Amino acid sequence: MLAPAPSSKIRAEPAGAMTPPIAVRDLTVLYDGRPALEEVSWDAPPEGLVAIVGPNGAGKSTLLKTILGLVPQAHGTITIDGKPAGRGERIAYVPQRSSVDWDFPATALDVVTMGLYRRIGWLRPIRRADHEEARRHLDAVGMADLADRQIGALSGGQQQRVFVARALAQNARIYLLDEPFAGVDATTSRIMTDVFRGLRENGSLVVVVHHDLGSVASIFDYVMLLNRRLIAAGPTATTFTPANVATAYGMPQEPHPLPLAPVC
Amino acid sequence: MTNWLSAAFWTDLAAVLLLRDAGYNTMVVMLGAAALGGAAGAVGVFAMLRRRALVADAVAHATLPGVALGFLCAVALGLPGRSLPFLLGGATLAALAAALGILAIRNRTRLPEDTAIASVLASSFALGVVLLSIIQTLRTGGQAGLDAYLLGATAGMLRHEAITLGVFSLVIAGMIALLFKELVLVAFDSEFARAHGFAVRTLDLIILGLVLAVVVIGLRIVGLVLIVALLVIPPAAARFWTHHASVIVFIAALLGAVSAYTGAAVSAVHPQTPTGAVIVLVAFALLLISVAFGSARGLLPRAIGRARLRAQGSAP
Repeated sequence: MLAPAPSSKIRAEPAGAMTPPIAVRDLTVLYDGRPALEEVSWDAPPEGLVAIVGPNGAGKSTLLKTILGLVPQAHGTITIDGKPAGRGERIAYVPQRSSVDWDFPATALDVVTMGLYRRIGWLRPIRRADHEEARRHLDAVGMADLADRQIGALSGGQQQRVFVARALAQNARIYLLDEPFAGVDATTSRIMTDVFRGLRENGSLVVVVHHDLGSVASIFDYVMLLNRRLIAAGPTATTFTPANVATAYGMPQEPHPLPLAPVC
Repeated sequence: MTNWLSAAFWTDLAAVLLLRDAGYNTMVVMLGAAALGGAAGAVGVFAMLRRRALVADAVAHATLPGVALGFLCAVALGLPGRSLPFLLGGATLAALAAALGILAIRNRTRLPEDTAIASVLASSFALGVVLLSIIQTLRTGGQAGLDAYLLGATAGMLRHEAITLGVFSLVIAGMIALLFKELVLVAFDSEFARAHGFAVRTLDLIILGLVLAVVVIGLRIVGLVLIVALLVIPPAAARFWTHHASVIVFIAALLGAVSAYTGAAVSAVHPQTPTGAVIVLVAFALLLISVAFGSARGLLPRAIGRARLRAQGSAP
């Protein structure tokens, strides 16, 4: 069978032009009428590991959720691979651990299988092959032995790895993770770093909200410094400078911060 | 009066429970009740996991003015006041209005959700009580039967009514089987479900719709004051036996069915008993047993597990 001729729309895009996987333009997001993000513009690199860094209340989680379409935007646009951001399987997501009900009747395997639901499809039952695939993803984070544990009976690091495995099951090219390294043990930290590097090898983009400034340079290729406004974004070597960090963390918390000189 | 302490009562009850001495009509009513109990238990799992139990209670109480208005409409049209389609139709509309009212209060006023729920529950129930007192003054027949909708009754229930309730319950069970994976997903992690491309609002509406259906169908047997118990208690009890959502649904359905079946049987032997109250007490007894002995998180199995650990720890 011949594939249908490519539509002219696809052809019309400049061939070979690097469309950023995530492009944010003039994004403003309000929480209770107060700006959580103000006029943020950012082009994600085509692939690699990106840290989002900034003080508490800087809007880091809000940015992830807005990209996912979970939070309404007051102003601005977000495009994913050049198309307007909707919801879909193109982005894998790991929420903050505190947002999960750990008492829920689900095993590690159940949670990872949820990452396959989109591909299994509405109303279709989960098959044995789906569980086997989920087990492989658990194995990738060193959790195969604990597949049948109720999630509340796992340690914090193990819980985090289950959710990383669920993101792997989503089989996306873009991964958004909200503080995956917060409060996890050294083993988990090492396994997650390896998993992220593996994704980078496959050409994926991994965006991580990160709190530990000390490990930014050793893990991440790119960094984005955020404090409601974008402070700086770019390769870690040139962007993660003491001056930029001081600007991001030292900024006053008033609703109208001092205007900043553009940083590049 | 039946003497609860007499041996005759218990032998009669045992005979009815085992369908040995039950008339055909009684049997149909008991099986209809069991089907309802099973559907309520299964739906209740999702109401519990998605934390909608209080909404279910408010919606149930809000059916009272609907039942009363249905009665008045039927009378105004010259029909017998207690015709099932009018009463249940009124109940459904009132329940929907209550659900929308709760949503509107929560979204528009910044009042916390429990405040919105409590105000809607109490005020709609109050409206129902006032309408009932008006109905009592009418010179039409059939008012007495309305009590059944408050506390539930299976005495005097017709065979085709029981069959209708049973069929509705089976439809509900079928919907849960079909949507099981999606309902668990939205109950566990609604943000992930949305980011993953599932229509969370639609799924929430389906959960609310299933709750509403159980409430309306269960009014006649369990009564609107107590129906929430059949949605809440069997799932809570089932949680003590397993860590698997699918197994919880089955156990909750089983416990709900056993409770409703037993309640209907007691009512068959002792027709003055409010069926709903007996059903709830049976369900609660099953909850206590589950809390004590449940294999997944019951108190006794956990104590034994701890004792065993300690014994291993102190062993040389």
